[in-house]
This record gives sequence, C-alpha cells and structure tokens, in this order.
Amino acid sequence: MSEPPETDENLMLRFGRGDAAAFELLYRRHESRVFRYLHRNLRNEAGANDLMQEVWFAVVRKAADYQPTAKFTTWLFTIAHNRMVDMIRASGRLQSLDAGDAAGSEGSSLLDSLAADAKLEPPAEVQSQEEAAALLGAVALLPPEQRSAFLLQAEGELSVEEIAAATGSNFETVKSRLRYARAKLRQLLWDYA
Amino acid sequence: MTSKESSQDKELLERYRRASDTEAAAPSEAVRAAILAESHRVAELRAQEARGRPFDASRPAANDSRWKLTAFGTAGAALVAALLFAPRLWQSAPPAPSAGGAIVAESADKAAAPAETGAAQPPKLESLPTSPSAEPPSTEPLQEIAVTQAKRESSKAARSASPERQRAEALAQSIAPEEKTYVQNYTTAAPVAGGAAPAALLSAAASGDTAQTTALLNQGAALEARDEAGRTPLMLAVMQRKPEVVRLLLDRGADPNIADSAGRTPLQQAKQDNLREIAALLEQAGAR
Repeated sequence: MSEPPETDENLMLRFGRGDAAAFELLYRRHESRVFRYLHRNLRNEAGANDLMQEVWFAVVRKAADYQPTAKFTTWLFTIAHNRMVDMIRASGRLQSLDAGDAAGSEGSSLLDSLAADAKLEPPAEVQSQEEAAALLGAVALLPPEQRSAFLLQAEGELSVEEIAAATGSNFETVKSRLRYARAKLRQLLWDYA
Repeated sequence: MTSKESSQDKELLERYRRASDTEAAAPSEAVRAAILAESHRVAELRAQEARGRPFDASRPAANDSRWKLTAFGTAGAALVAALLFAPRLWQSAPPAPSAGGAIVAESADKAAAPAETGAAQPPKLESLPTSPSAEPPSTEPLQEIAVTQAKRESSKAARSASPERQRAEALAQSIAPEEKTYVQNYTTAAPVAGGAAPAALLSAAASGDTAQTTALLNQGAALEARDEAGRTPLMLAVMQRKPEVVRLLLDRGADPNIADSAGRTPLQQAKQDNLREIAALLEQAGAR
C-alpha cells in the first residue's frame, strides 16, 4: 500500500525552511490550475504569464511567514485572485469584478428559472472536442464575478466558504454567482447538444 | 440545494474539467524558469538563516562597521579598571617599615644615575652613630625615622604634582619587591648568624655606607652574617649595587661564593643585573 502524497501544507512548510525541492513539487502540482484560472479570467496569454510569475513570486516570498491555518489552495488562489483584480483594475478593464453584483444580477430571474428547469440538464454522453471548446468558450462569456467564482470552484476546488474568503465576498453572494454560472453553462451545453 | 442539483453540479464540474484538460494551458518556459529560480534563491537564503550567519574569513575585521566601537569600548573598560585598581595597589604596597626602607628610599633617588658610578654617598641618617666606639646602633630609632621620612615623602608625593610626584613614582618603581623584602628582613628580623651587630652590618652594607661598614667590621662584626634569606652583607651590597662596599667586604676577606638560601651567589646576582664592575671585583676575588 503506497503512502499518501505529502500535503501541500507540509511542502510549503518545508520550503519555508529552505527546501527548494518541496517548492518544485508544490509548483508542479498546482501550476496548470493556477494558470488556467488566470488565463480564463484574463483571456490574455501574456497577461496570464505576467500574473502567473507575480503570484508565485508572492508565494515564494511569503513562505517564511506561511502558517497552515487554512488549506494551501485557498491561500494560493486568494493570492491569485487578489493579484488578478489588482491587475485588471490597473488596466482599467474591470468594471464590476468584486465591485458588486450589478453585472451578475442582470437577467437573474431568467437564469433562476433556467437553473431550476431539469430539462436543461445537458446530455451526459456527449463530450467531444467541439463540446469542450464550446464549454470553455461559454465560461469565457460568463460575467467576471461568476466566471471567477466558477473557476475558483472548478480549478481551485474551493468550497463556497473558501471562495467567499478568497474573494472577500459574502457566502450567499458567492452561492448565487455559482448558481447563475452553472445555469448558463448548462443552457449552453443543452443548446449544443 | 437538492441532491439532484448537487449531482448536476458535480456532473457539470466534471465535464468542465475534462474540457479544460483538452486545452494545453501552461505558463511559458521563461516564466516557469523564473519562478523556480526565485524559489531556489529564497530557499538558499532560508537555509543560510537556519544554519546561522556563516563566518566570512575573507572579510577583514577592519571592514566591520563595529570595530571602532569594539576597540574603544575595550580600551575604555581597561582604563576604568586601571583607575579603579591602581590606587588599591598603591595602598597595598607595604610602607617603608624600617631604616632599611628609608635607606632604599634615599638611594632610590640616586637610582636614576648610572648604577655603578661608585659615587653613591651613604645616606645621612642623623641618628646613625659614626663613632667607632659607640655601641652598635639599635634599629628601632632608625625605623621610626625612616618610617617618618617615608610617610612624609609619600604624602608629599601624593599632594604635589611634578617633580615631587614623579620622584615618588620613580622611587616606588625603583624598589623591587625582592629588595623591599630583604631590607625588611635584615632590619627587623634577628639574623641567624653573624656575631656582634650583624643586623647593623647587613644594613650598612645594603645602604652602601662604607664608613659604617668599616666601623662595624672593626668592631668585629662577622662578614658571614646572614639575613633570613641567607644573604650575606656582600650579597646585599651586590644587590644594592654598592661597588665600594663590595670592594671593602672583599678586601676584608668576605667569601664571594656564599650562596643565599635560593642557591644564588653574589656573582650570579651581579651578572643577572648586568653589574660589570661588581662582577669583575667578585671574579678577581675568586667568585664562581
């Protein structure tokens, strides 16, 4: 029986004591997920690369003070989210991310009804290259707050509570954003099928 | 959230993740390399901190910004210690206890002059009888006078600045501990041998008083008188650098090879003190 993999938290503590190999393992474990979170939110490869470096540099430099009081991924994606918001604000592109639910609440009554409709459940057996591209495209079309919340859940595997903590939002707001995001994606997949 | 909704959410997330895996999404190699390089740099710093600051032997101590503080701090502490302890050392030095002490004090003034001029005059102590017919002098009055003079000398030195102070300091430095010891011994302690007035002869020889030495010898004082350290008048005259007395004692037949209790002969003492004239006198007299 093989031993369970070392936890992210232990790897981070080891790195804080000067173990570079621990960081490398940790980085490779989360590289794709962080990059996808950034890339799909920004929809800009160069910006995602810049932000990726900035996020991991921050992780490296905060390692000495890291305390495993929460899941490592919550801490990591909190840094990623905050850096991304800073970058978007600096570029003046973001109008509503973390600034309220104005954009996310648009058409909420329609989405509520869509999400509650069982007929909108997408066909489970369909999963092709085209469908994958369509699904990723649909994610890109989500309002920023919903997209960020959904990606934190899908890529970061954060819970609603953890997303609320990472984004500085309230629990119910996050729950609502996630519900709208899923409803839109289901609609798209149903349409595709 | 119902269980149906929950399963639908899980299904959606699974489908998203499968779709996400179909798309190659990774940072550029340059970004990855920069991140890993930074992590290695920081890890090395952390490891160094954990090991403690390494000693850099290639860095001269003079380049240390704190060297001045360290150097002046040490020097200051040494100065304070010297100021605190020096007076105690002065006080703990035994005061001139006897005529011998006074004699040494008197002759110390002359110590600044070349040691073997042979012109050193015997100290003029008023109570010292010069008459050959007189009884051998008691050392008690001499001690009182000497103590009085020594006290006067030291208090004067303490009160005044130069040249008295310098003179007092030179006086103190010129008295070697060994000299103080034997002067005290032969003036206050009963000599173990020597016949009539051995202490007086020892005192006169040590002080370089040829007239008194001659008088005492004429009275029959023993040439081989010894103090507690086994030193003869000849040895004391050598130690006090009194070539005239050395010559006198040798002419009177003093044995130049009588060693003191430590086994040291007058010739060895003269050579140790680099007293060439005295050593020559001793060698002429057959000293070994």
